[in-house]
Amino acid sequence: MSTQTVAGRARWAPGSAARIGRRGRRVAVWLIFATLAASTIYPLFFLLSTALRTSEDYRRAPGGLPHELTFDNVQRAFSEMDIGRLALNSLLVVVPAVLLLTVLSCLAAYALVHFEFPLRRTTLAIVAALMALPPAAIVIPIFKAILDVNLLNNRLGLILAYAALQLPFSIFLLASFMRAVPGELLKAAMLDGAGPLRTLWSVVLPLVRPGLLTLMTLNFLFLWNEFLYSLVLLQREPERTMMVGIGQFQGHFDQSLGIVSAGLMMSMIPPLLIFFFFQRDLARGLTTGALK
Amino acid sequence: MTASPDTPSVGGPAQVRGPARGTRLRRAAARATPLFLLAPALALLAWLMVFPAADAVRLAFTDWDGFSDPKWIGLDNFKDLLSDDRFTQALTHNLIIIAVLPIWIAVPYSLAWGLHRKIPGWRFFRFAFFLPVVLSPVVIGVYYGMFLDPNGPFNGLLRAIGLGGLAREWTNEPGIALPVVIVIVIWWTLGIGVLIFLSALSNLDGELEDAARVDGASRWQIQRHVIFWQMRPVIQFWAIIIVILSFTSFFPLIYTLTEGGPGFATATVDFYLYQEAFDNGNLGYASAVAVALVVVIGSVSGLAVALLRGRRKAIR
Repeated sequence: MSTQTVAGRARWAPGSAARIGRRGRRVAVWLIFATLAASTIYPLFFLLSTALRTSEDYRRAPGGLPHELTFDNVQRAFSEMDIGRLALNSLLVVVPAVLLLTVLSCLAAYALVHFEFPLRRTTLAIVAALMALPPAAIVIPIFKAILDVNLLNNRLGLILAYAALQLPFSIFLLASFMRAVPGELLKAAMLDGAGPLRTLWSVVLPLVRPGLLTLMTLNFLFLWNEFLYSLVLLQREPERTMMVGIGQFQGHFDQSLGIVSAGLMMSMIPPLLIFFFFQRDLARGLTTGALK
Repeated sequence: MTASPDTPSVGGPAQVRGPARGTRLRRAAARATPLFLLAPALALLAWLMVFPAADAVRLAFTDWDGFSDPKWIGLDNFKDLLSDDRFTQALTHNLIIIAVLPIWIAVPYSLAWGLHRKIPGWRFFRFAFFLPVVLSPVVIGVYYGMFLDPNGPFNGLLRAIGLGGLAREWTNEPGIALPVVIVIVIWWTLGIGVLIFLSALSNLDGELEDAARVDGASRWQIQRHVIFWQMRPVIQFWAIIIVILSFTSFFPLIYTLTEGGPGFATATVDFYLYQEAFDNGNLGYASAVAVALVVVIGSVSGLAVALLRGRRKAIR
């Protein structure tokens, strides 16, 4: 699209709105945008401020600024909520699951995009159909499958369940990136004597590195925030993950808003880092499905 | 998703090595390569996705407490389902949620439109709208629990601007709690919708719009006949996503925000499914709920897509 069209669309330029009625409407629209933006930014401010003040201070003006800062809540989140342990438990599940997903979906997407074999299209169609299967609808049979192999309350069980749940989406996403790798390159590599795995490793993967990054970021984010499967498959305290730990802590101790806020703030660190540094990758990953 | 016919694909290593170099055995091995590459993924999918999907249907015909073996009881679960007030209530709540689907589409669409038209500060707005998307439902639920508390900041704000009369127990009043939960979910998922619509809008064919303008079409006509028409597939996609989200993603939020209450006023089908299965130990019955859920999702998505398709015909 030419720059001209874009410039022609810039109707917000001052001066172009001569009529007051139109300007009034524009201001009203802008205020709606601003209010909405405030409602999304405010939670961060609120949780941070609640985490850093005493509960007496909070009761005085719940929505406002703290009078004096205290790290008491943060300390108590570590001692009473055991937030460090919860964070470690989450990482011990999410990181292996993300790595497993990356390896499995690389191999599968590579086979589905760059090789011809019987039932290739059928396999693709099955993967796409599984993507539409809502996780909440199959939580009971997955619980049973994990129970049947004695992996209930074992991190490996949740890791495998996470990998299975995210696999259709991961294959789909990586396949859309791998499709951009020209087949001639692979042919050339194989003519030079490189085997299929070698070709994947030294030709395809370097070319889809942005796709890999997008995939790992999205999977990390989804699984870090996941609640239902973690609640169902890791029911004992020693393995409990961060979101479940915080969700249950807040149900039991209503009075400790500060501690819960401190815990929430810490649980938000990885998602916020991803948000600030990988926003473009996230956006690309989330819109890939829509625009195909 | 299906591969487009022009997808570049190597004929596989068998072809590449050529018949001169490879023995028959080697060629057979090479032909099996994609199978080896796919095997781990397919095995995991078969074990923990395909088999469970089928097993869900089997379990729906059993009585199972999670410990002993599932006992076959035929259609009893489904009979109970029909006369189960709680299920009906939860389903009604889901249908109410679905009824606001047009809002759920229109709000992100309008916001994306504003961003597309470069409303002042659009970069910041795009950033801000997307923020809740990365937050866990637990964070959202707990935050809104505090924010909407009778003595929380929201009522404080209302009192400060002289609307103290409106202050109430937002999450604990029948008739209000459910709408509040719905607004929170729309707010939470807004960013994805805006993102999807925005990238679709920037991929639009600008020439069509220009041509329409030259032909003297009004702004509204352009919006309706040119832009909306091109956006239709994306809107359909978003509608399906929302239908699935609305039936299956309320659980963590409701678990942390209202626990289905007051009474059962904010319980949705996925919440009820969890409660029956893992609080009450009726896993067989909950499986019947799951089967009903998938059937309802399927029909509602089909209906939503059909409605959107019908609208396109009307425009023509």
